[in-house]
Amino acid sequence: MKTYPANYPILRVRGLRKLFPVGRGQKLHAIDGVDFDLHPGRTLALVGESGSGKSTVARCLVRLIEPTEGEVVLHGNDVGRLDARQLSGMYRSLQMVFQDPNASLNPRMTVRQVLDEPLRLHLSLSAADRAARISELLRLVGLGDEHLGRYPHELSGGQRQRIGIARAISINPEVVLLDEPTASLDVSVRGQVLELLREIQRELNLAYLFISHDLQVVRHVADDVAVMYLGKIVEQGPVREIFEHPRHPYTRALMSAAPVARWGAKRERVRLAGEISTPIDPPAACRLALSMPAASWRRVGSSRWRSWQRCQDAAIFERAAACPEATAARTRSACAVCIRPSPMRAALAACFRGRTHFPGPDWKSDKCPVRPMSQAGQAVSEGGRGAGGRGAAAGLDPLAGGDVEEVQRVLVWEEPQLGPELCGGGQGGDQFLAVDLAMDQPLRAKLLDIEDLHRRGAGAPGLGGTQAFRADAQDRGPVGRARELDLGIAEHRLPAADSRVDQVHRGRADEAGDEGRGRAVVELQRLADLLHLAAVQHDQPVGQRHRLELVMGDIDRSGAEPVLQLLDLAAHLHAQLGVEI
Amino acid sequence: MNGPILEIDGFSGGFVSRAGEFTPVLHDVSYSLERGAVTAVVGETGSGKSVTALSVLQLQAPGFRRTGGQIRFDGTDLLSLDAQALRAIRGRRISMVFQDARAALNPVFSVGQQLADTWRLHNGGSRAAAMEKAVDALRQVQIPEPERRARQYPHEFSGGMAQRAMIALAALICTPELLLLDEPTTGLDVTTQADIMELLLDLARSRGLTVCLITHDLGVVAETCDHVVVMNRGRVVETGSAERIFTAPQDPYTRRLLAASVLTEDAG
Repeated sequence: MKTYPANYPILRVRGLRKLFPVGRGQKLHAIDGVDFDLHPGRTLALVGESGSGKSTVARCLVRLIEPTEGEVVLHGNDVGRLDARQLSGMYRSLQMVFQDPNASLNPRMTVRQVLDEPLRLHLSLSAADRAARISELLRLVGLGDEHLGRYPHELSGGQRQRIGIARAISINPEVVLLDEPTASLDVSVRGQVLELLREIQRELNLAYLFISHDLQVVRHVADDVAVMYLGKIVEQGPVREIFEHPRHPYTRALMSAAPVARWGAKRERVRLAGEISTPIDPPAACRLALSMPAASWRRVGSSRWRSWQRCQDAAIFERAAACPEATAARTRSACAVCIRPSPMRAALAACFRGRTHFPGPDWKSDKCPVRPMSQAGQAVSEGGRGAGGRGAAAGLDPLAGGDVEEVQRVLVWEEPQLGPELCGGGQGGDQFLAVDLAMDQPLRAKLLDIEDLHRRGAGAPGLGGTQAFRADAQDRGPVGRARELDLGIAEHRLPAADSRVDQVHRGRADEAGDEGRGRAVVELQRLADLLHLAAVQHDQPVGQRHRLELVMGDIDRSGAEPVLQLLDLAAHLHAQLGVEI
Repeated sequence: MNGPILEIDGFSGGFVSRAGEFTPVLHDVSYSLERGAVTAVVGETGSGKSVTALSVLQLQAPGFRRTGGQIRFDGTDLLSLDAQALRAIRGRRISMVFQDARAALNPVFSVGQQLADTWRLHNGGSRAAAMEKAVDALRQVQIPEPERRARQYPHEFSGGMAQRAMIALAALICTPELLLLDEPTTGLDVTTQADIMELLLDLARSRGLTVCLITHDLGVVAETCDHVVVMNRGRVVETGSAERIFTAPQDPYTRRLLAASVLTEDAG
């Protein structure tokens, strides 16, 4: 048994990508940026459905196929840079067990020959030592010397898989990739093989990458789980955490679909409506977005409020995970909201339901993540009230009177703990996530306080984006300034040197064209690779249609309720503003 | 009509090898299917569950020899029927869904065409009417855009979609009384699996179909079935209501199978 320093990542994978050209310049994104570590004595399970790219990951790791880009570091050596001879050396520490033992064993080789081959190739042992090693291996996998002379067809499925395992561990590897090792086995044999794998792992301190679509098996064997969907790891964490508190809608759908062989075990299905997405040239941001059927949107929209409600259950997750590219492509319009941290989401939704009060953090506290906006914002909203008549007439104007302040409070969000993808490389410090529920109404004026952002920008170093806000806002009155921001910017900190963000803002300010502004937002999101935030609305020049886009973040543990509320909001916008959907 | 729709009574048989050796695979298999119920036949590889089901429609692999027993469908002994009488039952009154739907569909005809042809075979009528029926059946099994899908060929269908089409064929176009499902969801992703099972049960319950589900997946059985038949090595080891089988299994093999199906959750 080998020993390693504590927490030693024996295999490190960073930014692994594999694209397959599929003709006409299109690329199939089999793996699209996968990161993980394997540790000695631990098992990482890679789960996902067919086509999610999990097997491609394994093949890239052993370089059965060449990854397009990315880094695979085994024991400090970059596997991608090895030539053929060094690669053969690498296989000493990295071995693989394949799904189908019928296909992975040569039918014309006896068990002895199968096991002898790697020993001959990798270890310089005498014939007698090799024979002794083979016997030892057979014992280790629960077989005996009587199996030595047999051919694969003379063995049962379970025995064949045991030979496959014996072959993989014969040369003392440190990492073993197991590609669905029990998928072709009967349940009674499955348990034995899993137990065997676990024993071997303990004995040899092996790191396992366990690829499977069988969640029950995964829960049984894994220490950590990474859930893949269309080439990306959508969720990763300790097995208990993932199984008990799945966060990503896809993980939830997957978990809820797995049957349990127990009487009375009821499951509540979480569904992702729509057809399976395609991995060919997917949008930059969210993979689930493609699952969103445009049809349901239209249906929802055309009969307005009531059908919104009716459709909520079925379509929640697709909408929630929609991202601008997808909605733009598939719907004429959509609705809008963003939001990552759940208190904010709930608060925002509460506001828009016309509630004057909602439970939430203590606004006055310095530690409160949600800060009120400044007086300037108030002024803006006062200015806008007159023109907000339509909403008021509908009896739904959530911003009237006392609500205004609450809404504003919600709109500036400081959250240093956001994921790295949101930090955009920035180091610590406050981040701004401003949400603009932009509408072609003075409503939006109420919703964004430039001055406030501005002031905060000055106070917090490194808020490159807010500088641009300042520039935009300079020569205009409060209402005008707010209008300028009507496309809804989800602002977060990017490195100050990142001029792309500035460009986006400037582009937005300069171009009167709505299309340009919409593009700017999309671009901004693309830059940040975020689907987390931003309410977006922009006009479509063609036919002067409004287009609202829904950009909702991943739904976290707070569940569907806030989303429902947001959908209410969307319906509200729809009803008030007559936005065509 | 009362009583079971299908009775398998003391059915035994085996395969004759090319060398003429006889290997028995089924030993005195007896079980019956209650009308309108969903019965699962569970067992592992080689338990004889599929051979028995295929025998109902006389579709066993060549080389199979019956050595005894009867299979009665609605009172008629199926094994004594001639080819013509059997054809009147196959598809019309008993139909079957196989594991690999894409292999079961004919690759050179469009999916809609195959459904429409089957409809005409059983019911006659015009091509156009049959195609309409086919599209309607595809719609009922929740295939999106059924008009477009009907024009596509099996290779353009995903595994789950192809299985839906097979279900449309077997359950809606054929309108049988008894539907045999041989591992209908094996090889499909879990989410698809769950969808297909739900669809099947909805159809069966709403139409009063009798369903026989042949599977090795006890997880699926626990959620969907009324009765369970457990087979092992060519023998029926236990039959009973699903609840009893899962909560109070009698036979040691059933217990082993159940234990193996539920992996303990601690990862050690």
